[in-house]
Amino acid sequence: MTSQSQKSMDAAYAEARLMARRRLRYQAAVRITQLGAVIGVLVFWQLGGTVLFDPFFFGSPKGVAAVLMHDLQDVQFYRDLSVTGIEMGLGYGLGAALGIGLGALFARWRFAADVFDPFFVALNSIPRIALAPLLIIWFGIDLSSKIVLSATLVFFLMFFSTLSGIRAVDAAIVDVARVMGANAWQIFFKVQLPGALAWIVSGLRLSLPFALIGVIVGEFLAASSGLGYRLNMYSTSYNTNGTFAMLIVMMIGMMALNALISLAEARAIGRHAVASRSRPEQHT
Amino acid sequence: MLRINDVSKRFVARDTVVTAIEGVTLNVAAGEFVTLVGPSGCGKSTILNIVSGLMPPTEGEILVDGKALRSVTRDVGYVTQQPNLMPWRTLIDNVGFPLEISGVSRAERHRRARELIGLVGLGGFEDAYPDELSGGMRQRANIIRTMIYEPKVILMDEPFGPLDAQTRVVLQDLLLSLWARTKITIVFITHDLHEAIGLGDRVVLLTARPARVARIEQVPLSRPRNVFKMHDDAAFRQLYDVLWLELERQVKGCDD
Repeated sequence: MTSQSQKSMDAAYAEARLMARRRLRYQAAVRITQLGAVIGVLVFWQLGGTVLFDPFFFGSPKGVAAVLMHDLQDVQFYRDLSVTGIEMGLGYGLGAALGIGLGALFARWRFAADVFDPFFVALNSIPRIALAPLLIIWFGIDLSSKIVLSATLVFFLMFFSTLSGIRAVDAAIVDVARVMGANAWQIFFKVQLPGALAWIVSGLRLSLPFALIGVIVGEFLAASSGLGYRLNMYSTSYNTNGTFAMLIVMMIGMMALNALISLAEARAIGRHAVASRSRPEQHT
Repeated sequence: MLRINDVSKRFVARDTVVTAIEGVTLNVAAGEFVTLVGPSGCGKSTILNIVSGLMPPTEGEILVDGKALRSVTRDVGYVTQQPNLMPWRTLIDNVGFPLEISGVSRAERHRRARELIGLVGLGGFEDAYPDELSGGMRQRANIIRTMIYEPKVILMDEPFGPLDAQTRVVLQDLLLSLWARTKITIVFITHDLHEAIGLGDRVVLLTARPARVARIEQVPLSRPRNVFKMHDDAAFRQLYDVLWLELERQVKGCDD
């Protein structure tokens, strides 16, 4: 009997080990294929440039690498990087703070929401990029015009996701809190805002690329520094390698910021998503 | 403890007046367990929404401990049919929520929540989130979340309705033992006549829409009751048959 169940236990462990090994092997296969795809594209890009297409128009991995190596040792590059970073950070922060604040306010203040809703929808329908020239007239070619452009893009996304998030909180849960004696502030801070957190965080994630788009477009149009300015310089002088190098810098920067937000998301709301993977044993 | 005094509720829908509740009067003594039974969808929940203070009556008044009810109050707790736990809070923080809003310290509310959680057999799940709990476990949490702040009267709106038959009986038994411990006043709504007789000191039978009090019966069963076995009791059967005859008439007359 005992040896029988011991055998059965061993079999269960062996099965679990086998499944873990399969999972690992599968993940390794995914990674290796991804790496292969990247190498394949790079090789095609490099070799194709000698026979299929003209590297003058399409650049080449070697050329891009050369520009990157050069720029990474250039003080001016870091200045451009930090200018874009500051513009984006301030635009994103300003837009997010105003969007969340006003979204939350309008969620509580029904009259204001009903009055302004059509105007917000109308304003949000303006292609913000077309606003850029006006913003540059108003705020100059310095950092502020880019910050404002970036903030207008982020603002509406955050405004609408905060408003919808708070409105999506189950009315029955709000009623339960009311019956328990919660006042308006407590309902807002302990029920509606935490209930909307998932919406707010996903709004923050979605609006991140828009913060960069606003800044880069602004820098394209009129600027004397920034990554967008640098990219524009390269592309207008037909330096395709330089253009690709800047795109890669932006891509890596955005991926790093995205990873940062994912981390914050996991800390803020993932707690219960993460917790549900290690559920305690049922004993009822 | 609770007086429902000639309460009516009428709604206007498409320019016609619909009466949901008509002249309901009921006195509930302190520590009494009263069950309201009536056909499904016939204004039972509207009565509780009025008694809880969430909805004003069109006519009549509610008195809680002699005071007229104006709006929601901590004196009246409400256990809803759905657990309505906050999905972003752990079990212990859901149960402790009513104490949190009245400013009880974290240590104290955790101590009291933990005690109740243990009492209903959820010990070990304090840090679990609602989506990790079964329907029955969530409903236990819903009940003790209302008991923790000790309202004078607790209203229950078919709290065991969505549960499977076995879980339901286990929770009925649990509720009776919680009630025996706390001697709280309970008004319990159900459409299940077994449940109404099994739990209540008195059973109030309501008519189909508009809801009126059709009859009130004293339940001649002694306490403590065995909810698992009492259905075989002769007194239970007799009361069941009497009430069922009346309820059947109401059910057939109620088209929703």
